[in-house]
Amino acid sequence: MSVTLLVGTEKGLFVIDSDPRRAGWSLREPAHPGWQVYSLYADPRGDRPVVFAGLSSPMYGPHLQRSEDGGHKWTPVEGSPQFPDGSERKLNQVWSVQAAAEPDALWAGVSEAALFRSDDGGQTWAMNTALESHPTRNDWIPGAGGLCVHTIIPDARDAARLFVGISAVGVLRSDDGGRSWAVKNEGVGALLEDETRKYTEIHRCVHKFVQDPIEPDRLYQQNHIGVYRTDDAGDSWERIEEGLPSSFGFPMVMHPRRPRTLFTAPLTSDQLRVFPDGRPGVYRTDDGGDHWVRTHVGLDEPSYSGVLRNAMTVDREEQPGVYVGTTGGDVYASFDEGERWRRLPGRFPRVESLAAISS
Amino acid sequence: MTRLTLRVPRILAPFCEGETSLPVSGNDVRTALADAMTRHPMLRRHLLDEEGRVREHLHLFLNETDVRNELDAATRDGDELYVLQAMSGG
Repeated sequence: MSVTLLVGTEKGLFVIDSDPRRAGWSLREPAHPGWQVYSLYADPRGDRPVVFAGLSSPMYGPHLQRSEDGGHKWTPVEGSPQFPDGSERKLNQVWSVQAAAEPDALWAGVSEAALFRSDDGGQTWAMNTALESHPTRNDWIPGAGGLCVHTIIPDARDAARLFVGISAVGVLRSDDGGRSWAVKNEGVGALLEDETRKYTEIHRCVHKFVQDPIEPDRLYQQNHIGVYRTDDAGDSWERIEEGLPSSFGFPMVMHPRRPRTLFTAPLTSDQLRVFPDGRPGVYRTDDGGDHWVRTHVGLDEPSYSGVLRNAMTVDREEQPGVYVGTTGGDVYASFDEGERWRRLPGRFPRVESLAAISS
Repeated sequence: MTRLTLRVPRILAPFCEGETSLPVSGNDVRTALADAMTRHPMLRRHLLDEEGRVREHLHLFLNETDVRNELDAATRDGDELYVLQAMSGG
């Protein structure tokens, strides 16, 4: 099957189509010129994926766009997530869209941190009031990217269970479909060591996390200050950094079908958000993070760019393609789990998000 | 009711049926904007913030007069109301 890769950037959306063997790739005309594209999501349910793009602008604010034809024609969503009139909260970006357990239902995560739900296929959205009124809410603080709900994971096994990741708050889990939320940061290092704070369990700067598709009690987290795994659905986390050049990075993606196989892209540090020593690498583990190996053949070197949290993805092909977009505007693909990488056509503005559609 | 033209940046054209020049009606800036936002509802979220104010990094000019903070400024037939976005850098 052919793959369409959507590339969301600081200045618009770009679309690259493959041939059926994913050998040849061609670039379409740009879409949404001038808009930042912080999130992309291809809802895999239905005959043809419905694609959502979270567009925003420092001047004009955010909205969602929706495409039913693989990113050719886009329609702005008039009922995009929005805080109520008169709210003191400012909606800055849509950071994530994710299918919910129920048909036609979706979740969306935004900055300032809030979770929205749609029950009509993404046409209208309502805020999740339980998260908004969480007891710790007034103590939440932003990361450098803002106070954002950037990761939403409906549990692979339990339809009532849902995880969200918020920078710089941490991971929260709901076991009742979003009616209540519990902080799940045990074992994760605090961003701020301040014993005078009321809620010492928050202020964990999760950057991205993923769930193992086969062993769903296992989740893996790329944090501001470490890489972690939980074996008990978030009740406790432990560090998994052997083989990594740095504990700092943003993206993390899971192999769609194989347990314990995932990818991350470490950067030097929070002070220097570029590949360590100019040596770009996507790191893979095949044993749930006990060991990591650097993959890099085909990545242009030296490179002093980085990879943002939504700028890595996988497709759903039998041998999954892994895709990574850099802050320098390059997009690479690997069809052998990182052994070799190839640069796809085009050099873009800073890549903010990627999504792959099979057709 | 006076008739005037609202001119918006190209980036907002997708919400205005592809147009950047919109005929609107209103006896002042506020009602002229309201008329545009009624015809093109997506304009509202992109021109105003959650508290109903003109977004922080936008300017409004009625002909050559800055009316960002004077939404009650009276309009006349043939006026032009401009939405301008912040620019910086070199």
